[in-house]
Amino acid sequence: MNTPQSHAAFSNAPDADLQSSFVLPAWTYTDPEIYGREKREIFYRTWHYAGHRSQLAEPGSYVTAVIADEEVVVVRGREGVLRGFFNVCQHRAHPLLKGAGQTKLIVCPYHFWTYDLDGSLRGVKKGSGMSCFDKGSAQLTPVAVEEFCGLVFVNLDADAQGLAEQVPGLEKDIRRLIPRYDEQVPMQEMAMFDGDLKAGWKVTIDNILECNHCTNAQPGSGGSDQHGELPERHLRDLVAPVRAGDQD
Amino acid sequence: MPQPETSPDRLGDRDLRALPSKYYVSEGVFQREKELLFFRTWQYACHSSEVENPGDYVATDILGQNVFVVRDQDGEIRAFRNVCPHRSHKLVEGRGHTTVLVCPYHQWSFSLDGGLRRLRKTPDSQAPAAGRVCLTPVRCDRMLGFVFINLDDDAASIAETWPGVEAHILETCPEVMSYKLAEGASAVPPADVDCNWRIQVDNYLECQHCRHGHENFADMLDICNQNYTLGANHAYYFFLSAGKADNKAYPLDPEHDVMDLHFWFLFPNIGFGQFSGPGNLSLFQWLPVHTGSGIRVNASLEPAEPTDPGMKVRQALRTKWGEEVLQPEDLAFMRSVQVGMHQHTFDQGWYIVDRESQEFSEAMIRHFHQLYQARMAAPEPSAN
Repeated sequence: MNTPQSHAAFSNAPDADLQSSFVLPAWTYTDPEIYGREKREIFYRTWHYAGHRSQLAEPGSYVTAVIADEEVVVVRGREGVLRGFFNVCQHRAHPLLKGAGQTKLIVCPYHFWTYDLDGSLRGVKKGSGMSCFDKGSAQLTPVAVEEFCGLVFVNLDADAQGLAEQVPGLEKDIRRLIPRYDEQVPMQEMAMFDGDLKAGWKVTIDNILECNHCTNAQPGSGGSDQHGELPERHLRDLVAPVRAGDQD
Repeated sequence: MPQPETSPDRLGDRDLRALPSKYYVSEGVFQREKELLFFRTWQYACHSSEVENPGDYVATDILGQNVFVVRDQDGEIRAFRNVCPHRSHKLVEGRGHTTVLVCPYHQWSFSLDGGLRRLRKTPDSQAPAAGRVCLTPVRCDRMLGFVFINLDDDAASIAETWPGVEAHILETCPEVMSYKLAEGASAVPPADVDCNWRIQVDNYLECQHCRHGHENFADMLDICNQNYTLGANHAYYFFLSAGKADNKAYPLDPEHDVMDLHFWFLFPNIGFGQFSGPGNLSLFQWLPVHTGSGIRVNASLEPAEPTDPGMKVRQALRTKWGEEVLQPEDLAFMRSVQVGMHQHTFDQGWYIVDRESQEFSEAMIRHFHQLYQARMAAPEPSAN
């Protein structure tokens, strides 16, 4: 693998002029420092899917999601407001809620610190000789939440531009192109696209952004199916020579 | 009763903020911990019965610094750097018995007091005089039959480091000096724990999570009856037993067993504990492997002779409970905390301090963190 001389080389790689443009260098798919920057500059500042509206219909219903190293929870408050928080207890950093479900309060399993659905600290286990502290000084840290086409998204950057604003016209397109969109509910079996791909995220996205490979490789996508290989297999072959690209 | 803001019983918010999370995840902190804590404090090496006879040795290491403990011809227990002064090869592996220490690489040999005995040469060779070469000694001290080493040649003795602790353990658990190292203890490897070593210590130093996190343990105790004491460089806490022979953890025999639980924490990373059940004293040593992973060393003492025919069975049930119930319960909490410490909005947690109740108080964690920060604030050790 080619080692980067400096990260300045990175900015020279893609070019607006398609005649002279090169693809991203291979090391940008495998370099841990690049992955660190991607987390800070991309994943922690953009909108990510957390759950479907139907999972968050009732007051107290919640879903959790993982964004790289961060965990968030989205919960519908008693008064119907949807809120998102970092899913980490302010006491000893233990994660708060798991999976998805329904709850009246957010209770940490380690020492039972209890938060209201609006993120405020409600109760701390203590005895009579307790040194009091102001419960107002500890509360869950909010993240931005937005419902878009019935899908609930979160953004760790509280100042981020709204998702609908970022993609003007998309909602209208979706409703035009997918008939009876609002009647659709999430599939119970998501195995078709879920799971650990053993390939870097950029390899995966590169793969869905072109269909050059479709006619001879993708079973059921219109081309010959002589090898019967799955797309996942191809992703792995792509990343294999440059290891360390697994970003699980 | 309302109290003035200056009262030590009413701490301000600042005094209740826990050690910042960067201390649990930072590579730089880990490097400083090595130099300022682990290479300069007393660390458990072995039990004296493992080097019972002259020539018995045990090799160990403190975060990659190799040391061995050996009993010399005069019966004295000594420790040396486990590295040949010739070409830095390791001298001994594991544990065993020898009359002479011979380096496997070029056969330089050393007596049990560390002096060079022989090196391979001809009469014409130019070589250092025997008196100029010896093994590098390491500070060695004992407490309750356990052998400790310290890589800092200038370190204070154990008695000065943890004053009164040995006497307090002997007073609280008077049978301890008649105990022996538990059968098979030497063969048990340390447990891998995938979290920062201080998350293990923090978890050991509070029992706020016990009532709901260790339900069967809580059933064995009179959980309201517990208290703690902070020492200059240690902490002590106890739980009174609920006195239940049949409880949800493991069976007890009040006629033959010790019932109350006593725990000591010796800064920075040693614990001694007596659990309910057949007589026992456990030593714990929590060591980092890296920022997010560590090991737990455990060496337990048990009565030299069974106190009653049922003792072995009760011991085995207690061990099984520890391995299959208590430790997995704690491990799940500790792993989750490690994940949480990486969350980028979690900067620092809180201490709950309660002078009247150990059940709710995290005063011992706070004490531990204060001692830790004082040590970590020390200037970098000199280059030599």
